[in-house]
Amino acid sequence: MVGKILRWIDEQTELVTFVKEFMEEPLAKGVGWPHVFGSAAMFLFVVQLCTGVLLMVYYVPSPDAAYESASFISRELPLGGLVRGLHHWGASFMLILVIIHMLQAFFWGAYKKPRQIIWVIGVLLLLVTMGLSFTGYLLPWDQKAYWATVVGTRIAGSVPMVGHYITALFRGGPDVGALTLTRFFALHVLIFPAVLIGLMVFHVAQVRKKGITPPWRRVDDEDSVSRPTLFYPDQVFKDAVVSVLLLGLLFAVAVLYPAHLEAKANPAAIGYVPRPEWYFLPNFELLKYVPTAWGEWGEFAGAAVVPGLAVLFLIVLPYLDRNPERLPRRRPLISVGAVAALGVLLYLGISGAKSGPPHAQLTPQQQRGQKVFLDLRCHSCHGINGGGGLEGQDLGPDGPRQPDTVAKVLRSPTAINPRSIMPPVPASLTKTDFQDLVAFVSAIDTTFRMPTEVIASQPHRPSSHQEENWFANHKYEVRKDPTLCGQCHEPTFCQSCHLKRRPDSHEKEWLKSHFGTAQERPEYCQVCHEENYCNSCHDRLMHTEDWMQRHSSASEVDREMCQECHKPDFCITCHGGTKPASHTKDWVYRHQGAQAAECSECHNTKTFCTACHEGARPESHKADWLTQHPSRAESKTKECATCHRTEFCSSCHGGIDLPHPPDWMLEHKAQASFAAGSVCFRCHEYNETCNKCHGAEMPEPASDTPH
Amino acid sequence: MGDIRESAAGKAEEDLSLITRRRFLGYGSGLLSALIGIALGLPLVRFYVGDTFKEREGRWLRLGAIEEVTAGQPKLFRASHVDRDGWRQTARRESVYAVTQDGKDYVVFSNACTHLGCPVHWDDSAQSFLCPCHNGGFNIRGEVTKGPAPRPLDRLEHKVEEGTLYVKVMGG
Repeated sequence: MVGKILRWIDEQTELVTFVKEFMEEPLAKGVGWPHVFGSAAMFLFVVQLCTGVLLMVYYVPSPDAAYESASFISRELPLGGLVRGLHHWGASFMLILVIIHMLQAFFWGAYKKPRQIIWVIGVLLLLVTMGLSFTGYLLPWDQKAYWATVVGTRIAGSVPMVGHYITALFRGGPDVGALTLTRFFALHVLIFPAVLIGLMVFHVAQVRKKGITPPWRRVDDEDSVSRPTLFYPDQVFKDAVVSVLLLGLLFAVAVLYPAHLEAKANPAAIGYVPRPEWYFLPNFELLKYVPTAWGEWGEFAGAAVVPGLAVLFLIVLPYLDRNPERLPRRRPLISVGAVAALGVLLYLGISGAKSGPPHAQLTPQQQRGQKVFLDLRCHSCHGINGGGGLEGQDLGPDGPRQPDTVAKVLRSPTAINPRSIMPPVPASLTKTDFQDLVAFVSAIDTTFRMPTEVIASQPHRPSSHQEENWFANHKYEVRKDPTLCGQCHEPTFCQSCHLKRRPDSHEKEWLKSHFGTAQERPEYCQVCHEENYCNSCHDRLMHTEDWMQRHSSASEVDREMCQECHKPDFCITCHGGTKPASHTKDWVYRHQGAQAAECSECHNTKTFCTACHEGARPESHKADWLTQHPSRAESKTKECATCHRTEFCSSCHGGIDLPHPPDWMLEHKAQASFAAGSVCFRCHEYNETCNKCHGAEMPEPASDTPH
Repeated sequence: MGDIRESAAGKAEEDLSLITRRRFLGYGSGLLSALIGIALGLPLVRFYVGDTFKEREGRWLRLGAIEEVTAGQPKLFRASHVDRDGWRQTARRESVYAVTQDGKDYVVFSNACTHLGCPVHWDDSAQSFLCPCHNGGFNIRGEVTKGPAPRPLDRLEHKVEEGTLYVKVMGG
């Protein structure tokens, strides 16, 4: 059946015959395992194509969405991390294979006549592969991608006179931004792959036409070589074995070393130190050897001229080296030169990888301090040179700091900045831990880095929260749709900062106006306050009419709540220094002589007086207390003294015989005063007592009579 | 070159062991290629399919205290939630009517008219949910009383926990 279909296709197109003839290329003796690298590089390109096309199903080339879509691929899609890892590592694998393939072609002398153009196309393929890697590097739009592109495109600006035009051309504008991303995307997914496929087809077609180079044969001695095997299946089988091994290795690396995403690209993160990918390291390192005295011309030489000349040399190499010998030892000059050049490249690459940006070596105390720093989650707000939270100040650029100041800020952030929302270090922190923390924080400078695992484990934030000005603008977002915040955050999340610094809306006069908001838009309150928050005031602390009687006990329990509205010295306005001069220590014993009109200037006499005279009486002082009190007073003198001085007893017992003696009815006229306020009327009602005997003859007590 | 191939093929036909070797390499190449195809293809297909067929679980969205819903008086609740749309997180605002007749059993209606999805509103004087688009009407039980709506108002899954009314929504 399959044979029939193939025959039919062949009749119609001759495609099968073409493929068969193409694959059955006779191979020279000695061609074998060393010649698998070209096919291996091509296989990896196919892997890159497959994974790249599928990544495009989900990726969005826009600064607003690139990072989110890359993060979605890595973290949420099934096998997304694996596919992204395959593509990420596949790029490096492919470049390594291309380089090995070129080295093999060089040392086997495969660039020589008649295969010069195959070599030239190979050099171009190397350049396109590097272009693919460079343009693909930006696409995840994380910090590493962004800053590597900033540096990479800036190198193009080293060309004197016209450098900034070239940089702008690369970037699509003066800065790396949305236009850079879209043009890098177009280059990466369309233009470069199309060019690469075209060059590769030409490259392979030329190889098929001119044959795989017979190993070590002189240029003019190829025809006599025996060709005992065919490309298919002999070489294809070897290629397949290598491809399987490579794919296995690629899977292993992609699984063991996932392609991490750093934080989203932040052009404002001035502390971030960019690093180029490994294949640009030799060029990156070369710039360090350019004398600074050469100025921009030196940078131009290191960044563009030397690499440019190297590429040019590779392109013209087949036409310069006309030695017909292929055996390396018979062309010692070029072979030694190549080994030397390779050594220089390796040296530059390795020293570039080793040198890196200056990296602080933490002392043991600083290491302990760093652990405390991370345990306390300081890094969730404070970044260190571009890694970590964005809410607080990045601690890298402005360091190091004075330990004394750091200790002061850590203990009491508001001592330095009254509006600081930073929480102080917990009181439970041991003295040693605190000292370690101070040592670490005060030492942080531009050479410190946030540990990679910390950056990788940062919580995933929604896209809105990754905007540069999110922290400053979140209050407006809350007002737009307060219920949305509550979908992820508990009220305590807001309080973790706002207990220290009230929202702008809650500043002056807020208590007077809060009721309207709470009534009309309770969802605003519910963002930051728990449901029972209102009750904390409205249940117990509402200033109802009986508040003066209740306020003492309530304020004892809810002193903090009082201070939500009242300053601490508010109590003193009544209980302390601002009492009028008349309210001396013994005022309570004299106050009955005060004019009610004067009292009412400060006191609500209706409630204030009853607070003591009614409501605050002890339970024992019931209606029959006056008749009951003598026996109680004798046995519980101390109890009486809680509220009363001895003068209080004398105010009655000092002038009047109490209890009244038997002959009191005869004597009372001489002792009793009929003036209003007389001690008699503390116990007796005028109408009920005096009129009982005296009837209407008894004159009314004179109201203006002195006490 | 063609002669070389023919001679190689000719020799191969004559030499049985060579035929066996060629077949072995040919089948071996095919097998390895198939292995590569499967090893690479299966993860990529799974990646392409993604969460296409994954059922969305939905989430409970807090509406408010049940005391806010008085008997015989539909209460409109609005609440927002985050909905996942692939890599996007979008805010969705839900408007629903909660109804109780006895203060014990509650019904939560979507405020989307079942005709074309316009938002209905409760009209006290008409004692109906009215749709502004095509003059549809629904009574307090959500039943169609007039207009083109093909079915009653959609009832949403809900629950009451500790005096708070929740409704189940799709997404996030």
